[in-house]
Amino acid sequence: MRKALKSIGKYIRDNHLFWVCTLITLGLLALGFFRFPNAIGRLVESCWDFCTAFVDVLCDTFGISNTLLYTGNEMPDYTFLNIKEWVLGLFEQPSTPTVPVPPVEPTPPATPSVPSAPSIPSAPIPTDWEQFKINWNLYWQAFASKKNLLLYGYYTLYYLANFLRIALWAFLFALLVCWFFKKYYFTGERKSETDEEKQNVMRPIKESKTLRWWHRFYFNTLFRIGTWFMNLYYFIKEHKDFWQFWLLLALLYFNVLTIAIEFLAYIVYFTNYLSFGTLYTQVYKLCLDLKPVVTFVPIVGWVALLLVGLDKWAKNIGYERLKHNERKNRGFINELGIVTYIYAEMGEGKTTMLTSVALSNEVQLRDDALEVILECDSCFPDFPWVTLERVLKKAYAEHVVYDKWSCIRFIRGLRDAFLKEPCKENVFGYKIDRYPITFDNKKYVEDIWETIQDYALAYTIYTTQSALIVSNYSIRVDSLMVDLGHFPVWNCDFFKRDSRLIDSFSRHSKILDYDMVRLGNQMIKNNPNRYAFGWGVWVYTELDKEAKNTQEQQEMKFNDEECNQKNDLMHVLFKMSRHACMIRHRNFVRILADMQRVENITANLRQIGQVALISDKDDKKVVLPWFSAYKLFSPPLLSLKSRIDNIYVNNRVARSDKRLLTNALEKTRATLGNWDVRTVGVYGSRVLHIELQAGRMDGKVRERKYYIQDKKDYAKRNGSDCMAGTFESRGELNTIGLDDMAEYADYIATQDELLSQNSYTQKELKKYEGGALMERKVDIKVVDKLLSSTVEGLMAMQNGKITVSEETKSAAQVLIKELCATVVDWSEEKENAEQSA
Amino acid sequence: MKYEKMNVVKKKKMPFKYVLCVLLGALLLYVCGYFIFIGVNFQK
Repeated sequence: MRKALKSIGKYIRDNHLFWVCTLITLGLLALGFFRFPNAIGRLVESCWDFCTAFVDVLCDTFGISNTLLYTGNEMPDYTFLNIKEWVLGLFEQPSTPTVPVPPVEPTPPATPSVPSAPSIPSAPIPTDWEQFKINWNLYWQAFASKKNLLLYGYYTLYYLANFLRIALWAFLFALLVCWFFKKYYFTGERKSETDEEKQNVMRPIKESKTLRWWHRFYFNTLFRIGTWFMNLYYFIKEHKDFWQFWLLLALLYFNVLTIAIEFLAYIVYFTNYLSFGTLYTQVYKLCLDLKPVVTFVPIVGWVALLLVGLDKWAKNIGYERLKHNERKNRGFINELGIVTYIYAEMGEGKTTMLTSVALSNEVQLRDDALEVILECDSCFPDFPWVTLERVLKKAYAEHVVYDKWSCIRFIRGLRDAFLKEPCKENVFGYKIDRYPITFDNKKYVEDIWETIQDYALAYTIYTTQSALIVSNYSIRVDSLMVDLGHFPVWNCDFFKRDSRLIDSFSRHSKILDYDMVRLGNQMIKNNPNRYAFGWGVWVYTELDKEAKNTQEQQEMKFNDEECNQKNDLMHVLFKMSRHACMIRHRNFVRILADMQRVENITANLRQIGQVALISDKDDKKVVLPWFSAYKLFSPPLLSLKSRIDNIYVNNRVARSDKRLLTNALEKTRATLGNWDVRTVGVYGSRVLHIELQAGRMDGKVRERKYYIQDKKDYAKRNGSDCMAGTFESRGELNTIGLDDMAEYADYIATQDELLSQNSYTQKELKKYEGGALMERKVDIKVVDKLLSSTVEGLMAMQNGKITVSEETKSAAQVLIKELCATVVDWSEEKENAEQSA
Repeated sequence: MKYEKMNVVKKKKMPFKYVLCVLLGALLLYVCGYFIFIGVNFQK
């Protein structure tokens, strides 16, 4: 017996969540029995109404005599299928069924004098239209009554006075608590730690008794309860039967199903008879059917539901606004030409904008490719495009097709085979004996192989899984390809990405090899990347430093063997770029660059494209509407947070231990701060004001707006220090920190301090001001320092601390020798100078 | 060392526009309350 009980107990323990759900189900059934006994009766009635409406209309349409008329205009019969009464009736003496009186409305604080209304119906409105009209007039009479207005004012003042009385006491109490904590809690300094304790930097942070108690209570009780509820939640989520049944019960109890069926029945009836006189009855019945849900949920519940619903709606609007802004951005980039230069002062966000424009451009290229695919498809709707796609996929996997020209070669090869032997097998199984092989677009007649070629090119672009961006800094892209093995589609929604999963679906842009964009001399002879320029978005940050302007190019010779900015012909490629990849009059190449000064590139290069100056930027705004929880509550809550921040910082200054109240304050400020950060992270948006003009800078400025949106543009898209790698090797050699640097002795620098700046100005001033001895002394000092640091650097190169080519290494060796000799010479000169002094 | 408390973090004030909107909203609710007041008592 004991064993059996044990095994039952174990079974219940192991399946306790199932039993909990079963109990909830039974509880809901009981609730329906006691609280919503009319629900099933009303549902059956609504079904009957629907049947009668349908039969009524059917008979009326075909002229069949019918006695079964529509019953939906009759009042509900609450005695019909009333389970509660039926069950109770089994135990009681049968009595005359009566219409149950609906629950009485909660009574207001007082009754104002209103004209006497007719008998109270079971719904808040009268049963018939005539009575409603009478009541309507009476209502407005009561509304306009001066007495009622004064009474309303009186009751308002009465409740306000009560409220203020409580608020005053609450305020005084809060003041006392604040004073107490300020005096004894936050200012109380903990007994300072001993020197021995201070030696151990990893010593645990001391916690107060109350905090330890709270942590024990939290982790041993609250956390377990929370975990249990989470387990229950996931159990219910996994077991659809339970929650679907509960949902069905809710729909039944709250008459949602009844209302829906009654509505359909009335629509069927109304469209046939157009009986406007029955409309009011339907409104009355709707009020009756809604009454159970309205009275079941308490007012607090309705307020909570309202706020949650409004917030959800507001978030949907916010999301739509983000998408709308992105569409405006797409409008802006479609206005740009093939080549665009973005420039602004440092910190204005030009690289952020460049990245954003590149991302939108990538999506635009894919959209254009899809447009071409659909256009080609509609030219020959009977062509087996699926077969072509399969062939292309295979060719792409075997690296037969990889760029525009390989794709064209591939299709031309197939075309030649077809021309030699024109049969359907040679044109992907297209039934050429039945369907046309040309398409007249009323401009010219298009051959099927031209269309196939365009389709193949567009399909190759569209299905390229890696980023279509080639850049000289890393850009993260997160477009998702949805491929069920048939036709893939891209999900390019920047705003609905789960931030926790970005590593799983992110790709990065391709590394730009400048030799790819050099039509002339190249840095590396026979570079395998040299012919790779093709479709895609080509992005350069700080192009001015690479390309240089005419003045900086003066020393360079076109005929130099080594490549330089004059003979690499990059500007020619930029000019020719639109010819690289055109498909059905759409260009699939974009070149974007940013720089601090657009004058720092040659006019030849600049005038190819358009220049966009970021003239101004607005403050960041959250695009949620005013009724969102963030807009409604964030101002006071963030104001509160800034006050808690001060308490927190002052507490950190005074002590290092942790206590219950300070811990609670920390958690509060963290929760508020994180809520703010997360909301701004999703719905934050900033407007950049752009002055757009042609590259010839003729002063004809067009003012535009560009939206930088946090969720799209700051989601680890690119590092704002994207060129930080340049300083990495220098950083490895550095041994000087800010604390190690020399400090001025007073508020006016001494001569030695000025000279230690190694400034050109100071050096010049000294040269003309002092005698030869001083000049020499200074020079020797400066040169000493310079030489030693240079030798150190070169030694590091030679010893392999910095990775350099063998050529540079040998050059460094020669330089070291020369410099060592120079150091000896300088030392001799220094000694001689000192002796003569 | 004696430490005088400071406001290290700048206190964030509620924008005037927000306060004004809250007050106007309260007034609107008060006016709506009159409709409900009459309606509820009318039912009685």
